Amino acid sequence: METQDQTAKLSNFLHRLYVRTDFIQIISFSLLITIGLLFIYGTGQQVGSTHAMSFWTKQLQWLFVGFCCWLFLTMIDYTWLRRFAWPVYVATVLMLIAVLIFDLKIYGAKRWLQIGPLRIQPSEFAKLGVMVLLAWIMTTRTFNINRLSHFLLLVPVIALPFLLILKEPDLGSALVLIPISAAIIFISNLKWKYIIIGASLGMILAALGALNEYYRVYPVLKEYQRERIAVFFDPGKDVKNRGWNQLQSKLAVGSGGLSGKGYMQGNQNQLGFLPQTVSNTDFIFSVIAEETGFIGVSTLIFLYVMLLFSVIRTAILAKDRFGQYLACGTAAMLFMHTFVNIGMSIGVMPITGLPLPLVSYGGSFMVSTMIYLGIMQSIYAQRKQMFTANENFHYTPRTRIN
Amino acid sequence: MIRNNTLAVRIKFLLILIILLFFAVAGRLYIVQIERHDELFNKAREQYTSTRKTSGKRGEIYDYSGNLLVGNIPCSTIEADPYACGNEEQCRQTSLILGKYLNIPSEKIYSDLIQKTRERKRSDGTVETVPRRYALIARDVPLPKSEMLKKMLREQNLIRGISFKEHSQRFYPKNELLANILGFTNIERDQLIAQLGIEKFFNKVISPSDSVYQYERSRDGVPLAVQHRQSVNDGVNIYLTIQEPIQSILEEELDKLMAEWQPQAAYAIMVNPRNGNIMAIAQRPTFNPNDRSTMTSDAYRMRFISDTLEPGSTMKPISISGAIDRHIVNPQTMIDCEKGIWFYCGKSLSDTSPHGMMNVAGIVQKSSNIGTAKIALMMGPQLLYDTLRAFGFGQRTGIPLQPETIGRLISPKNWDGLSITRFPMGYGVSCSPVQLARAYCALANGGRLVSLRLVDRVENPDTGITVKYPVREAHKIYRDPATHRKMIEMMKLVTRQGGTARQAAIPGYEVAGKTGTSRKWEGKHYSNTRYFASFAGFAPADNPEFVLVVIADEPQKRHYGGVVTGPAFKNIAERTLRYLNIQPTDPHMPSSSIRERR
Repeated sequence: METQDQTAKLSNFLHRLYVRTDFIQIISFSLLITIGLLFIYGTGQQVGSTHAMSFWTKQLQWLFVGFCCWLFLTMIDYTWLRRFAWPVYVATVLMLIAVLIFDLKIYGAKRWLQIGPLRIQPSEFAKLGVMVLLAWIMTTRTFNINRLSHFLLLVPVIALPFLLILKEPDLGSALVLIPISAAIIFISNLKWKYIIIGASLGMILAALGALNEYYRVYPVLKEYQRERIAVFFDPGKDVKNRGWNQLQSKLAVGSGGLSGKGYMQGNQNQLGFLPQTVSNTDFIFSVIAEETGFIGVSTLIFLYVMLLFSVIRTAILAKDRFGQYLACGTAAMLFMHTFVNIGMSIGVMPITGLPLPLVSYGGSFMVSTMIYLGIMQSIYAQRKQMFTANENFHYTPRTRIN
Repeated sequence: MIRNNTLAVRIKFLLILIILLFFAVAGRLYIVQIERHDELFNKAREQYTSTRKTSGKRGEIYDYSGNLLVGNIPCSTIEADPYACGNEEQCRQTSLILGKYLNIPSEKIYSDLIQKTRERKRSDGTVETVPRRYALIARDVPLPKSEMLKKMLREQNLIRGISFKEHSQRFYPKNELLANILGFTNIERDQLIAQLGIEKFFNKVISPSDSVYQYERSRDGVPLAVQHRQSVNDGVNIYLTIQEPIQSILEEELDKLMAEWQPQAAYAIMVNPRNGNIMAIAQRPTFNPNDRSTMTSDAYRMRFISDTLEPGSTMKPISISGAIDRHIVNPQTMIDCEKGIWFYCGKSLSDTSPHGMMNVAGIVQKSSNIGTAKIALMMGPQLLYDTLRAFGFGQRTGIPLQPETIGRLISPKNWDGLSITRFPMGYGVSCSPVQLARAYCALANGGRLVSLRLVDRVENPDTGITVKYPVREAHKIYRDPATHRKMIEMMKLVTRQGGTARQAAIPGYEVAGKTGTSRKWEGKHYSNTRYFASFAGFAPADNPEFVLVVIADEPQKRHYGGVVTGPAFKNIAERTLRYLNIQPTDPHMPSSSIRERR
């Protein structure tokens, strides 16, 4: 009797686990992480490299940390995050300020914070902070996004970390805040007419900004950023210096062909034409494209589509607005990174230094991405009952916030 | 409030947008990876493959017994790519390091490195500024030093833009020794140009083979494991017939002669008469191939094969040998030497010291012009011409160098009346010093005209196989084998009591030879002040180890061949005999003396 009972318990537990879990997400992110590890290892083997294994082992360590975060978040109730919206936001802003005070410069920019043996990049966590706080603000009872005074409340929440990250300088990471916020606002109750007005205003502002930079009326961009953009429009202009990475990346992608040169056989990567400083981070896609060809990168893109599909499905299935906002923000973040990174590798976007989610080397981004995905699992687990008609399990969400 | 399903529509809208954008990315990827693959692939390959030319080692030159005369030392040429050399600070540091160890002012290197652009005229006449990608910093830096510099720059992370090109530099360990024969090479652009001497005329065989191969290189230019590298062959090594110790003796004595008599030029040639091997050869002035400043055309021209002189009396034994061989005269035949002055064809001919009746041996010993002329008259033009021709005048000697003169020997149909009296005593006939040495080889070895040899054998350094240069069949001159003995006995008298070259006698050895003192032709007439003084001979006379010719061009103070070149002959010959360990023969042995026989 007892064993039967235990078996029933176990089977019930497994069933609940099965129902709770978003397997599409798990399959896609596991494969992406595997690919990432393979190519971080591969780029470490560059000719003349003195620290062949260090990136790979470090990434493994960060992955372990990220996986623990993910596992923890899958098991907790995400609504619990509401209480942490402000503390997380304030903490990340403080870290961003700390970055500017304690300058740990790497490749000419202050982006890192050294805490003991750990080196973290606060801008990655700032995205999370902004996203959670926006979701919190927009799900408070009194908040009405269609009122201008309420809408304007959102602006400083986004602008503060945006300006702090821009100051580092890290234009790419700062710009990612905009689509995250835009996606969250887009799926809110905001009326279409305001969306259209807002989008038009945004475009006009962007155009004005571009003109301002072009004629240097009141230049905001740093010289290197301006050059990156100039190089993007004319990669042949400065082949040896700033145009180098973009050109080499394009050559790498192009020489991959249909099926690539084979794992760790890419000349551009192995011979150091794609410098080691970027080949495992910003330009890892070029390495994958060179070594696995069109077939390989199509698979990679399919995996990202799969991951994004799972995240957006989570948004649709989310039981509350808070979950929906978080899921959409996550989708926007993942999409932005993937799209811009691939875009710059194939020469359709200027170099912004956005890493490829789950694949590029980088501890903070790996951990923060796993945190996003853990939250997604938590939202998915507590999703609306959509299949009750056919399913015979008794699972009731515990609480409803709104 | 917007209803939930409307929200789902917006989310789905986002999803569709995302998928569409990814499709756009995939489309773009298709264009880059599939459609433009060939173009981009080739572009990429162009930058990571590099061609390199490798050469083997240029052949080395040794003397007969394997002493190194010309070798190679590895060295580097240091070049810079100013555009890639980094900022001011890095250029400053680089130039300090390079300047310190290369003994070049570092300011000079710095100003070279900091010059990042240059102006280039376009075809339409406008000037554009382009990056400056090349600057030569130092040439021929010895390899250990350049390796050290390379390491230092790499350690300080300044190596970017500085390149070290390895090659080998020609090195002449013995400096002036044999410089004229060995020749030298120049570097023009990347090419080694052989300029003269053995270096030039054996250039084809001592040049190594090149191979051009492609390899993959890293961005820093580090080549990957060598793929498909063609083998290159080193140039062959050349072993000369020269014997370095004898060459040293010869050059030392020639320098003494230069110091004592201050002639414009001097030559000394030593040949083994049996096989024509040139054992030593030198000329003054000469040069140091390791020091470009000593290289003037006067010094490096191979005068001993390209310049001619009228040999003067050294020609007499050669002419007389023809008469002896055909039994027109024999050493005892008495000839009237006209008391020192004789008119023929309206021109006077005189002797330095007057003689009356004298036998042929005396004519050789005392170098009587009148006697020689009379013997020639007895021979007739054709026989005289044939004799001189048989001794190699007017022909090349076989020495493997160029440009070689054949001298001047006019065919009898163009002779005037005086020719028959002047040609046998070495006027009106001209030859190079080397031709004279070869003719004396024939006198020394029984009338066999050998071809001169300078290169004994070549060795392939890869296989170790040695190929000997053939000794060409000697051409026989004498019809009567007895002629040889007669000639030797007469020529021995020259260095004895009463001869013209007692200074050339070597105690304990018998020397056969002949002096020569010829006035230089000055365009219209013979000079009264400028002479060629010469001595040609061989020792030991009866079994000659070598023929030695010493010539001084315009000696100061004295001009007689016996006085000027006799002592040099003696010193060189004596030291050489000692070096060759030839046992002395008693010079007072009566049997070999003609006078005794008479």
